[in-house]
Amino acid sequence: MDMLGQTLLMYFIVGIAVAVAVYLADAAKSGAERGFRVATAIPFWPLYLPLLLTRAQPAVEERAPPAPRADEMTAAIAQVDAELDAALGSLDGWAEDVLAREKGRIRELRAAWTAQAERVREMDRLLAQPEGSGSLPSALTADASERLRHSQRARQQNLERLRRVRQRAYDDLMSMLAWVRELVSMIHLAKFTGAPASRAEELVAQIAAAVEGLSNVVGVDEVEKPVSCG
Amino acid sequence: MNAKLISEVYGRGPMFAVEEPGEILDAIPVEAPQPAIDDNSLLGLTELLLKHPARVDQLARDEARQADMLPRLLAIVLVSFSMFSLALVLLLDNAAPNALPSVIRSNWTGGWRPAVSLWAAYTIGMVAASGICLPSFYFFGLLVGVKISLLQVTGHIMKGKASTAVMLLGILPIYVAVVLGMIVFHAPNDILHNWLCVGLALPFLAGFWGAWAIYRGFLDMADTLPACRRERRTCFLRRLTVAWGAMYCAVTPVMIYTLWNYFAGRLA
Repeated sequence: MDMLGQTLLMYFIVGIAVAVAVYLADAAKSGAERGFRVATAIPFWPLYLPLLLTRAQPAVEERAPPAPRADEMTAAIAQVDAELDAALGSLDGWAEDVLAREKGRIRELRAAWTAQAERVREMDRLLAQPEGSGSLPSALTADASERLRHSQRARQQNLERLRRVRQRAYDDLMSMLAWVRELVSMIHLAKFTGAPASRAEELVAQIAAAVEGLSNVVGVDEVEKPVSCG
Repeated sequence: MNAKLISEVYGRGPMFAVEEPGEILDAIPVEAPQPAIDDNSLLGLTELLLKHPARVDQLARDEARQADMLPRLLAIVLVSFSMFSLALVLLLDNAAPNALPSVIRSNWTGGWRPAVSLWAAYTIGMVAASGICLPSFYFFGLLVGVKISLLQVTGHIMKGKASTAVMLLGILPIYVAVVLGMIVFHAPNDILHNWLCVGLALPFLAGFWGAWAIYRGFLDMADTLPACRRERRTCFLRRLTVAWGAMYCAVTPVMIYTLWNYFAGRLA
């Protein structure tokens, strides 16, 4: 057997192994579909190998990010997302260049909305933690009990500030979503009133620019200095 | 910062520099974003490749969809190349022996054996060459810094192959009509010879469309690069994608020729 023959033999042996793996992995598929996959996995196994190797990973990935809770923010984001998709989809053949240019930033904007919502939820979780009784232990010296009282007051103030930060983050997110909806409606209006493509470009660029506003959501100028008991 | 931005926006500050487009006429209903094409079917996917290649680019990026998409794209490729091989075999069988291209003349004895060899060489060769070049494309992506998995690379490559296949199916009837006309009307052998050579190269001509699809899909991945480096890295990515295309163009004909010689020699 010549060199090419040996290489092909090895190739098909690996192909058979991959085909067996595909057969075992595709238990949920229908008979014909499964048959096609197994048959094509023998000669074309390099295409199936990444598929088999990637399938093992989701169990690890699934644990990592908890799915966002279905709440008011999720619903609002989903709605604006759908409207934005519709508006961007309607740019086809009119101002698709700007869409291609700004696609990355629009994706970042969506990620920023989700991150902002998650940040608000995280603050909600912190604020929902039980306060405790608040009464001081009786067996303390006057000095120690004064210090403890001061700590509790500082804690209350910090929580109050956290509540304000949370409210501001929530307001910002909702305002941003409302603003994007407004721009989306302007895109539709511009399209149907025969506005030039430059008008759509301007509007899409503004939507994309919003990412810069939201990406600074942990805003340096919004830092609330914590109250310290010291 | 954010609150300031919003107040500027809603206060029609400098950020909101858009002029009102005149009077608001009415509420505009939201349009359906995409045409209703079933991307879960073979025909739907073929239709998408023709009408909305950008949507197929998006699908190729979605790892969760690859388990369904890859076999479908492969099926499109196999059907198209099988039809191409069948058409080529019929033309070669009916052409005068001295009009046959020199690369296949010695092994073209007529009958089913060279026909099967030709089909296997093209079908397996085209896809196997992709398999060989797959890891290099993945490493090129890592070198540039785009966030791409081997599965997404496979998706993009198969999308390119399927685009080639669809284009091949599009130009095949025209080619067959022309060459069949030459055979029927006894065109001079040297002209027929040239046209049959073009026939052997037809998948490569259609391959330009596939290469463009891969190039476009891969450049879209540039949006995973950090914004501060995107412009410079995109230029690098563009060059590496072209380099990969050149490498693939060199590997594929060699692969097909080698497989053709091997199968034709074994089956003869």
